[in-house]
This record gives sequence, C-alpha cells and structure tokens, in this order.
Amino acid sequence: MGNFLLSRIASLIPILFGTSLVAFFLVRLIPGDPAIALLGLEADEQAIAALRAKLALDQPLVLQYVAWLKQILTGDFGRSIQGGREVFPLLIGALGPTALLSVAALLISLVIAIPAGIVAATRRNSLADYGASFAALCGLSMPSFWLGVLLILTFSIYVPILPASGYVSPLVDPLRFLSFLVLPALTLGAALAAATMRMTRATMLEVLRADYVRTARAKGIPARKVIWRHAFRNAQIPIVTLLGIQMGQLLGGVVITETVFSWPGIGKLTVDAIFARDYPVVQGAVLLTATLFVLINLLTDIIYTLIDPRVSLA
Amino acid sequence: MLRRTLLKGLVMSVALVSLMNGTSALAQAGKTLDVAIVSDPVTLDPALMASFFELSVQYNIHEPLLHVTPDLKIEPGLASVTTPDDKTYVLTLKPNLTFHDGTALDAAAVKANFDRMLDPSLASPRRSELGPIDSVEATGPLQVTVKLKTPYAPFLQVLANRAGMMVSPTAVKSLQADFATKAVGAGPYKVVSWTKNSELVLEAFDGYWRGAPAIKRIVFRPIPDETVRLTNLRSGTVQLIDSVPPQTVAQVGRESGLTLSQSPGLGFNAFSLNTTRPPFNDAKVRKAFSMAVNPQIVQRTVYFGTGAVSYGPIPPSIAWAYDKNLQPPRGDAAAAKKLLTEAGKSEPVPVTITVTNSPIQIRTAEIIQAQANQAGFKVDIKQIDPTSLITVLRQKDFDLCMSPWSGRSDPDGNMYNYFTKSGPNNFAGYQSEKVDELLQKARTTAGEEARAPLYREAQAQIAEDAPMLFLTFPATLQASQKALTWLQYPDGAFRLQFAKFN
Repeated sequence: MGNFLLSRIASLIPILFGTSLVAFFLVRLIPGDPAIALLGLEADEQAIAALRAKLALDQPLVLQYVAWLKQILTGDFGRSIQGGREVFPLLIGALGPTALLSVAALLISLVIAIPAGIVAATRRNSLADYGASFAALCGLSMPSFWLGVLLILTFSIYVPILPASGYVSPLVDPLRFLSFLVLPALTLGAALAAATMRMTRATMLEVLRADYVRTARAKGIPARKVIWRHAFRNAQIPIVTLLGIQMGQLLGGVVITETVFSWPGIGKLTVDAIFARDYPVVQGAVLLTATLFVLINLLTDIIYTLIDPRVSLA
Repeated sequence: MLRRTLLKGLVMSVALVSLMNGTSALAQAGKTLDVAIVSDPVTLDPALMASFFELSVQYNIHEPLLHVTPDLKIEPGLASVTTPDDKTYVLTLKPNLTFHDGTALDAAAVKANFDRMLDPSLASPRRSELGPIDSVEATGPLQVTVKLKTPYAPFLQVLANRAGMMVSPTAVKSLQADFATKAVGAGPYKVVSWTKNSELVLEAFDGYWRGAPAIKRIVFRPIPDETVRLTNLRSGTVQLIDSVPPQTVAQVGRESGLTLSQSPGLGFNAFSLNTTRPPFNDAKVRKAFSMAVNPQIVQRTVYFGTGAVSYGPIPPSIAWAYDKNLQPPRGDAAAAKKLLTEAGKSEPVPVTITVTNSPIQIRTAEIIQAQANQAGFKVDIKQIDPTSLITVLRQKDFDLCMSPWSGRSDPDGNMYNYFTKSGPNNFAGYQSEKVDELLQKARTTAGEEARAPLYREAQAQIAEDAPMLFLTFPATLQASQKALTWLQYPDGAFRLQFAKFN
C-alpha cells in the first residue's frame, strides 16, 4: 500500500510537467494576447506595447516558459493579469465553492440514482423500470441552463422559498449558504443521477444473474438482504469508478451551472481567464485541476480496496 | 438507513433554509442595495479600466474632478474650472477634501494622478483620452493648472469621465499591485471587500463632498445570464439591474413591482468595412452594401424598437451635435444592384461578416446577410470570441466586422479615433484628408455652435464614403424595484449617491 501510494504520487511529476507544457503553449495558440484583452478597443498601439513589455510578453516563448516554471517550483503562481490578484489564492477561493457544489450534487445524485437503479434492475421491464429509465433519459438530455432557469422560476418566483442565484461562504452564514446551494446542486445532481442510475441498473442486472446470488436466494435469505448485502456490494466497483470520474470532471468546473447561478467557481474563473487570455490564471487552473484529477483517481483506487478485499494495490 | 438519514437531512435543511431566507431578507431591507451587473469588474483602478461593463461600478468608488449631468452638461465636482485661454485650464479644488483613507485631496494629489495616468510605463488607456497635455502644475495648495499643446475641446468632458477620477496617491504607493482590488478613491462609497465573481461590497463614505449617501451599503453582484438577472430582480434578491435584454423591455415595463428605465445611449452598433482590400477598397461597392441594408429592420427585430436607428456616429443624446437630417439611402436592393454593376461587378460579390458569438450580434449579422444577398452579394457569417475581435480588427483581417462603441459624452470621443487617418479605432483603414482636417478642426475649436457644423460636414462625407455601416444607437436599458429611486445616466454607469429607498 505504501509503495503504491509513493509510486502514484511520483507519477504526478511527469504528468504535471506534461500538463504545464500543454497549458502554457496551448493557451498561447489562441489569437490575441492579455495586453490586447486587458486594454480593449480603447487603447492605442503604444499602450499595448508598453503593457506587453511590462508583462514580458515580448520575450521568446521558451524563456517565458522557463521563467514561469521557475516561479511555480518556488510555489509562486504569479498574479492575474486581469486585476492583479495573486493566482493561488484566487484559484483556491474558486475551488472551494466548486468543491462544495460538486459534493452536494454527487450526494443528491446518489440519493436518487442508487435506489432508482436497484429498483429498475430488480423489477426489470416493469413499469418502475420504464419510469426510472425515462426519468434518466430526461435527466441526461435536459440541458443544465434550461433546468437551472426552470428551477429558479419555480422556487424563487412562483414558490418563493429560495434565492434565485448567488453565493455566500458557509463560514460566514451556513444557512444562507445552504439556501444558495440547493438549486445549483439539484440542477447538477439531476444530470449526474441519470448516468449513475443507468450504471447501477446495468451492473446490478449482471450481478443478480450471478451464481452466488442464486445460491443466496436458494438458501432462503430474504430478498432485501440478498439485494443489498450480496448483490449491491459487488455492483459497487463500476459505480465508484463512475463517481470518481464524475467528481474529477466536476472539480474541473461546471461552467454552465456556475454561470446560471452566479456561483463563483473554478469553471467560470477558468473560462473567463481563457477569454481574457489571462495566461497565469489559465495555466494555474489547469495544473491545479490536473493534480486534483490524479488525486481523485488515487482515492478511487483506495476505495476499491475497502469495498472489495480481493482488490489489492500492492 | 443511510438513505433515510440523508433524505431527512435534506428535507430539514431545505425547510430551515427557506425560513432563514425570509428573515435575512427582512433584516437587510432599507440598508443594503443589491445591484446585479453583467460581469465582474476586471480592475477597480480607474487609470487601468478598459471595459464598458466596469464603468457601472467605478463612479460609486471614484469621483471625477468635474461632474456631467444626465443631459451632458458640465458642472463642478471635486473641483471647479476656469479657462483663461483655450489652452489653459485652471482647476480649483473644494477645501478640506480627503480620499477614503484620509489622505488629503489637494493640488499635489491631483498632480500625482495626472502624472500617473500620463506615465507611459503604466500603459493607461487614459493617456490618449487626456489629449495634448503639455504640463500639469500645482499652482496653489488647492489649484492645479493644466496647459495643453493645442486646443482640445473635449477636455472638460474627459475630466468629467474616466480620466478625471482621482485616486489616493498614498494608497497607490502602499498597496502596489493590490490597488486594483482595493481601490481607494474619493467617491461616495469605499470598498469593503471584493470576492471574485461573487460580490463587491461598498460602504458609504461619510467624507464624500456632497455629504454621505442615503444608502449605506451597496453590493454589486455579477450575474452574466440575462434571464437570471431579471429573475433576481423579480424575486427581490436584487433591487437594481443593469442591461435589461431588449426583448423583455415591453414585458418588464408592464410589471407592477418594477420600474424600467431607458434613455438614449451614447454609443453605436456599427460595422467597419475594410477599405484596404477587395471588395470594399472600392467606394462604390461599400456604398452599394450600405444601401442594401435597412437599419430600421435591425432596430425593430434585434432591438425590439428600443434605442434609435443610426446613420452616423453621433447619437441624438448629444443633442447639439446630432444631425437629424443625415439620412443616406438605405434598404434599396435595386439601387444597390445598379451601383454594383456600375462598379463592374456582375457575379455575386463574396463578403464575410465577422461578429462575436453574442445573440444580438449574430441576429444583426443574419439580417445584414439576408438583405445584402438580395442586392448581389454573397455573405458568409464568421463567429469569433470577444478577445479575438480586437485582434481581427487591429490586423484588418476582415471584410465587414462589428465595431461597437460604448460612446463618449463629447462627439470627438465617437469620431476622432474612428475616422482620422491614424486613429487607433480606424479599423476600416479610412483615409480622407477632408474628414481628417474637419475632425482636427472640430477638436481644437471652442464652442458648440462653431463645432456642430464641422461634425455635420464630417458625418456627411463619411456617409458618402461609407467606411462604416451604422445600424443603431442602442438605448441604456436598466430596471429597478419600485421601492428604489435612482438617477439614470446615458452612459449606463450607476451613480448611486443619488439613489434612495422610498
């Protein structure tokens, strides 16, 4: 286990190095540069040239990359070109809201998807199965900007019990935070639940056909116990894999949901930074999300061993 | 078991939350004004601000030296001004003014602000707005004398806008790069906190020269989605919103709890025609294209009748310079076709329209496309992102490209940079000796009566040469809850020192 962890964490080094290369050069392939984006239509050529010199954008790309790498290795992510905030606190400040929203959305999706998936699998081809499958199809095909606006209309105009959009830190006002969290978490949870429900149904169907389930049934174990203790435990691995992927994707940012609900997350921050060609922020955000993605995959692997003792990480 | 606990927790938290929500909204009423703006400001430093949407917060934090009224008249602000001759401006500051941090707002501070904006290494967009400044000297403890190299008629309007906003020189020095997020000015409100993409909290400044503002606390919330912005206003989460989408104007106007405020804006929605390469290097082809398009259709279908149709760069809101008789031929496919034949073009002429991927611009481009196709053009639409737009325009990598302008309160600000031969916004590559001379003259001539005919003549020549296709003057559209009284300005920037809850 210890060796496994060490080797996985060591594998972060080449991954992050590669990511830094891609992040650095890819964002520079987009036409326009931060000086143009910052000064806008109103600036003259002189002002743009002066700002470029100030930001060292007139240096050769390789030198710029080496300078940035040196900075990163000393733990300094630099400052945002747009507005001059320090990049690292900016990223962490946006990652917090995204992480909270992601966890809430995943919880909601699990609460909906696991029971629905199991019911659909155990009563295959019944009305319940069709109903759950239809709901999942709706969840998958409803775009989040539409569902989001629909929820806002319902719960802050027609039945005004929740604020339409916004964010406050849970450390400042936990209850208001929850009131802001409900709608975006539901919006996001709906789409996630659909995928998880389909996965739960498929793996449960497979497991329910397995010999040991038939044996358990033959021994007269109550159906409920067979499903939860014998079948579901073994169906968990693919579900956990899916959850791991979902969580990784969520932490990369959920731009549309964040935009609709004015949720100050990392997705919106990154997309804005790309539009503004705010190189230090884009590079920092890509590095950070890549790191998180690797760590979450690692966590998923560790969870496998807890669910299924046959899986060994040595 | 786990499932049941989770469900229970969820139900309870929703119930609690709705309870809390009601009480906290009550507690805040009357004290805090929540304002929904389109996008988070990039910087709070007025010397570096470049985008149109940032303007909506700036006037609340920063006070310009002079004040411009909603009908664009100049009034004294932090200072009053006299002009002994057309190249000298003497600013006299009100006594005992301070910035939010207590630093004295005296002649030395004003000079420091000018020096900062004019310093080439800061790369401030204000530098070119300030025009031909020769020297800025503190000629008394409260008196600053600005000397210009040549007369510059828009100077007072410039001092009443972005370039006149004074910031605390002490704070600039001590905060360094953090000044952009913690700005210290002399406006009606001081910055309390600013969370990126979430909220900018301001608090009334008791030392404001007009007296402390009525509303004690303002929270600006960036809400980019137009539907959600409006929903927040309807539900009362915010009490004032910027940028109401034109298609909802009629409906919002009918809602009993809301007030829709609209006034003619200062800017224009127009397209530059690239005069440096075929097909638009031929004035006849440019004219034919302009003739084919009917701006009234654009105003009616894209802007839903709000704002006004435009034939030139000066909007009706600048009443003294607006020319209502300027009406070049538009919406005439047959005449356009004839002109194309005269220019020796028989095939359908291929043209690409470049626009950003915003719904309003795409719809506009589609209407132009349909109309121009009927007149013998073959139009393609190319969509790009807003930052690429600036590069495309500057590199003249287009046939026809959107070039919208937020507008300035002096006509010089809407024309000089666009139509003089080396103007930074002359994306069309337009070269006209006549227009160049007229605009130079209009800039250096004093008096509205003397300047107006010069702008009329320049606009007529531009309409003849057709380097730009003007479509509309978009209106400033904002809305508030009935309980709020406030003052709308044509530039769309909020000045909330004049707002109060009824």
